[in-house]
Amino acid sequence: MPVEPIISVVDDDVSVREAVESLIKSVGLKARAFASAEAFLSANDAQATACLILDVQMPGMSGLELQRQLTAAGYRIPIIFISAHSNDRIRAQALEGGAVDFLFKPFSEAALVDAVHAALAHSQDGGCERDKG
Amino acid sequence: MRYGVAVLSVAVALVVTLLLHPDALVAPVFFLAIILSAWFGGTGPGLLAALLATLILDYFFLPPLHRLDFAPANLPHVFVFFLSTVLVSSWSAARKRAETLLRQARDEQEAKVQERTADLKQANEKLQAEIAERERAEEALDHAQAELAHLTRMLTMGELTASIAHEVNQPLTAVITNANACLRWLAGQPPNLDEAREAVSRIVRDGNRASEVIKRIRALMMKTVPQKSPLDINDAIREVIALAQSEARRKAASLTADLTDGLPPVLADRVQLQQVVLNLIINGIEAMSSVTGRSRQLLVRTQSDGSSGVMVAVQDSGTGIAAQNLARLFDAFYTTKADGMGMGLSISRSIIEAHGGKLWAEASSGHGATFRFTLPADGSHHQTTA
Repeated sequence: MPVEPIISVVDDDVSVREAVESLIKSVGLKARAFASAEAFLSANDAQATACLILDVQMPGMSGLELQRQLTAAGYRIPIIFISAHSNDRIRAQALEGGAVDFLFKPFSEAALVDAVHAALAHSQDGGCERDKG
Repeated sequence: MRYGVAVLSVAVALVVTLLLHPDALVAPVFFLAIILSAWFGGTGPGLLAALLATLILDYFFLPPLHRLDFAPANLPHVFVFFLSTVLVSSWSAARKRAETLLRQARDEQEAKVQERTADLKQANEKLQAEIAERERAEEALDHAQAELAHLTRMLTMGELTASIAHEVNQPLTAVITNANACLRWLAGQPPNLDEAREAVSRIVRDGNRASEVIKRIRALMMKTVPQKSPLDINDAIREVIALAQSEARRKAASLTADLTDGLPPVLADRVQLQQVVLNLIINGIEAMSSVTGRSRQLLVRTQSDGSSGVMVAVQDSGTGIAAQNLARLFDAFYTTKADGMGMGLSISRSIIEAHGGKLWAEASSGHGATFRFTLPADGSHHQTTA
């Protein structure tokens, strides 16, 4: 039975977090928002997350660090990074780590929605499932 | 020579005594000759003069006259005379030696004093030189510190724009995203008015948040009160050009100045004015970075603005400005650069307007763009503060 895909939004900025969550919901998808990478991990939502929209710079664990931890734990969640800083080095690092897309704020609605759809298509190929023993 | 003095003085004494012939004067005149001989000649000539005088006494003045026979009757006289002359001679010679020694001592002492004085003078000169050197060093340090403070203030503008960009970017992103979400909620069948209303509330909140950031930044800028003073626009521009040369070289662009002499001083905050010029220069260099096939030339010109003020033009040979962008160029957050903040020209225009001038852009004849600004001449001495 196909589970309804959940899109998780992780951003320490409340304005951006709520706006992105609302936009995702307005497209008819299910969304959850977290104020930090730690909050996302402790909510144990990684299993249910079909796509992760992730801020790069956050107090505490950074977006890149969360990406590393998820990869190390065996998750293959498609990640869309959103960043307020145009830093090519970090962008390259994120894409190397398997990110689906890397968007600079302010991004266009179309860019984000397209990226989410691409990520969902990616995860439906089976990429998002945790490797099971 | 010294003995010659003795013979001569005794001869003179003899002539004098023979001519005057007063017996009473014989002894004093010869004593005088002996004293002189001993004084100028020393002990030897003194003794010679004493001996000669004694012989002359016996020969010319003691009976029998004109015979040197040392008659026994004269011996006491001769002996006393001789003894007296020897004593006078040795006294005179001793006296002379003492005087000489004293003078030598005095001379030596004086030489020593002079030597010490010279030493002191030299030490003093060295000290003066060191003081001057130290003053120069302190002056150089002051100058370097002033330069550094100046540079720091100029760079603050860049840091400030970066901070503004980030602070405003977050609510701006949220506003755009919320507005799009709102449109989607409204476009639903049926429209989800609750969600739409919430999105609009968030837009209001985030719009206010962005506005608060701008207010804070403005308050921050107000803290740095512009310090206006009359200045030579050419001097201020020369400093900026010196600062920007390395950046121009790095981007393979030539940066030249054509500054008109004799322009009136303008009343301006040096640092703010230089921030504007630096901003225009850096913009110009960046506008030419993609230019190939022709030279990248940036020309900074100063001239009269046609009335009493001055006009500064920064002309590049870059890609130019599309006509539709000209109007938006000075809007905050408007940028054509990949990594631009869109704040430089907006702030520059505010600065120039706060100085009573105008800043605008126009397409250059040929390639590229020209940014111009005007500043009124310093009329502060004609004005009275309200």
